[in-house]
Amino acid sequence: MLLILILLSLLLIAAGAGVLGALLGLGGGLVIVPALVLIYNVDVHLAIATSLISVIATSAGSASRYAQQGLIHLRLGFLLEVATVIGGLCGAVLTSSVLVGPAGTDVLFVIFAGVTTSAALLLIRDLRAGKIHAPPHDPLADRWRLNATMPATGSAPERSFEVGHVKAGMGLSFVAGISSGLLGIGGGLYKVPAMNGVMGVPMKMASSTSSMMIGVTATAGALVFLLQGDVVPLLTAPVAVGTLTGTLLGTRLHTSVSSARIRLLFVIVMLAAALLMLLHGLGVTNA
Amino acid sequence: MSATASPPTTLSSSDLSRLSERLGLLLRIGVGISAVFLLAGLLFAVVSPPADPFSTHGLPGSRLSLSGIEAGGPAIWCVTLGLFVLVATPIGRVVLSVQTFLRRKEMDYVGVTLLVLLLLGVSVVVGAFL
Repeated sequence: MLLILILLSLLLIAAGAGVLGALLGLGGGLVIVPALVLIYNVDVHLAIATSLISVIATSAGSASRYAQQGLIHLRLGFLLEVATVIGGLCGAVLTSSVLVGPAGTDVLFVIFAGVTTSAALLLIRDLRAGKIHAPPHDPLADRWRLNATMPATGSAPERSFEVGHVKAGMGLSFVAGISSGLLGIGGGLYKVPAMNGVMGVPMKMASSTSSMMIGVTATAGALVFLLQGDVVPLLTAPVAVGTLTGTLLGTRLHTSVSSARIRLLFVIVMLAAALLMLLHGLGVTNA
Repeated sequence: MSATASPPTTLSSSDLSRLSERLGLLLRIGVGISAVFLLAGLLFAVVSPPADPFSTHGLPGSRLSLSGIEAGGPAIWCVTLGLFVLVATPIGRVVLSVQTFLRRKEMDYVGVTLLVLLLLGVSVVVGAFL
């Protein structure tokens, strides 16, 4: 009976994270890791592994939809994936081999708090984001044939755009990859601003492309954890199924819900989670 | 598809949208199969709970403990299978991309996608042996 309750509650929390993630173009990892650690008292390494696997489900669920709508910039995604996968691998190795033991766990908590806070601040900045300026012409974009066309969506007509700052985009993608393997998140919170704000890719295309990339990024880390035996099957299954369901629901709600209010709620939840993780990491609270 | 001995070329926008559709379909199939196994595993777990539901059950790789997974019963091996299908799905997506660029002889992107595949191979080696 208790088992059923635990599985059901995991499923529900993961579904909520999936809905929020799909609405905001982020994986649900920023909610799932703190929930597993703080509510279910799961070891932080196992929570990260669980969350990474759920990111793959989120990615496959949302990217399949966006792919069929032609919203994914394939060439750009494939190119940036090189950097995110290297980062994802490095992050997972750091977490599973270096940051082990109580001291490593404390460090992970503090890093998690920092990253979550910066993500929350980015979301707040987005709330009153101004216009994106077109980046300067970049020969690398010609070399890799990255200049593309954004298909018509809703009332917006089709438009072509130039991609800029390719090297900076690669660098930020590497950082996104590290954060993914290190913390069990998709890394979309770095990839979307990198593509949209820095490289000049339209927002919808940036978040759709990111949703495809987070799957392969998370896979790089998930393979390390899975093969090292750091995955709890019955913890991962309800979380993966829950986030997938939530994602499918969220991508459908995407058009009908105003995201400003949800975004604000998400920011509050993230800041609260960051504070709790920080207190945990600094040893102020015990679990 | 393409004529024999076609010169090196790049994917046209219709090639790219066809690739998009095939990638979407592949992701949908992969995640669907995985979800079936995961749900079946959860059902097994509810019907006959394993002795130690929240252990890692010796999952797997070089630390593979088939006996550990077997001891967990159908719930554990169903979920394990589902997890492997899930992880294989993005890998399949990269393989499909390599193949598409190869067919159009867009060699720089063959290189890029192969590199991603290679890096995922490194992940397997790191996870299984290091």
